[in-house]
Amino acid sequence: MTSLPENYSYSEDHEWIDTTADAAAGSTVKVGITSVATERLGEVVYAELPEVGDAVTASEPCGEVESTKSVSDLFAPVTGTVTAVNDAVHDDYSVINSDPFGDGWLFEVEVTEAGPLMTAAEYAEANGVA
Amino acid sequence: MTAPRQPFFPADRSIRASENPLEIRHLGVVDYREAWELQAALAQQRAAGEIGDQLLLLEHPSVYTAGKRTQPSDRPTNGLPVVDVDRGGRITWHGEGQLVAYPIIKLADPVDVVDYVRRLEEAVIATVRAVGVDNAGRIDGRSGVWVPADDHRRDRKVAALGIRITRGVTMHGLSLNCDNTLEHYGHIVACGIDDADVTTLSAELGRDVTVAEVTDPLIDALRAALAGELVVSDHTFASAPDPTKIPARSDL
Repeated sequence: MTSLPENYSYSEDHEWIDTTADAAAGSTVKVGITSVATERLGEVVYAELPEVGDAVTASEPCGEVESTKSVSDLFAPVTGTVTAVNDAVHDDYSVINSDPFGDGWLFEVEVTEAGPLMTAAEYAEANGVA
Repeated sequence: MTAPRQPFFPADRSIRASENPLEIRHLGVVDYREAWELQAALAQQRAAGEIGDQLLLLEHPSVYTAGKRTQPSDRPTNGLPVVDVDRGGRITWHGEGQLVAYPIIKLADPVDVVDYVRRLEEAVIATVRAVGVDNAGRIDGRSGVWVPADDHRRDRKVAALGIRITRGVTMHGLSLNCDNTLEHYGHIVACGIDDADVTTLSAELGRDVTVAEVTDPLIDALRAALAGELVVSDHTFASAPDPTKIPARSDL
């Protein structure tokens, strides 16, 4: 299991942002899915991501990922406007599995409001991650 | 990655969030779109906690359904309509004589998609073997349940899977070919796989195996597999690349 970056924040729906919950509002954050999610999804073969300019709402669906013959919703961990999308994942979805907290990031959001978020320790505790 | 891997919780534990009994619903032959709307409504009610876990058993009148990744070249050449759907996987065919099972289940958190799919496959493998196809199993790299190639025939698929999970609740599911015609598969690239074939239980066993004959065994096996009483084990007899996983941008 990939270790959880300490300086990230985590949602109940297994998405991360690359800053602390306190620092999120008013800043632009990267969003991705956690290693807890990717290991349970299996090999990601397709992702439908929001587009630049889209409004996303914390805890609401904002896209989809397909793995193991299954389509799952992607939930926004924060509320705000999408400012960038990681198009590179469409060239090789395996990066979402191999580097979920780095090159496998999905999109960037200019945050107006953070959703309910956990610290790395809280997320690890909630999901039985050693 | 698709072969059974170490589950994140004990394999003999239930994958369902609830311990209440599964409600079994025999729906008969139902139009695809009508059944799809019913599933979506039930999944929403299940997510809201208004109803318990359901297992729908049915057949569809002849129809093609296509997941999002279906390629233009996979689509039928016979002019029959295609319903574009929100499940995983590419194109498939449904029709009478094929048993369809749609579990509307709230999964235990964190949702383990791989484990859920492998449990459905395990239930189908147990059912298919019990009816007489003793060598049915998995092909590493491809989902579904397969009968291995012999001197005369290639690997062939007897059951297909396609799932959607919303708010931790499953919909869509699996289809098992019993005594349906295989004619309609001839007009598509089923599941985007062009180097293998499709079969039915009747074709494999040389006798008529009806939907009615396998319905109760499948229900029992699904119940046991979801509960962890029928434990997922490795029934892999071959390995093959899944041609649908070629991740080129032009593939979209």
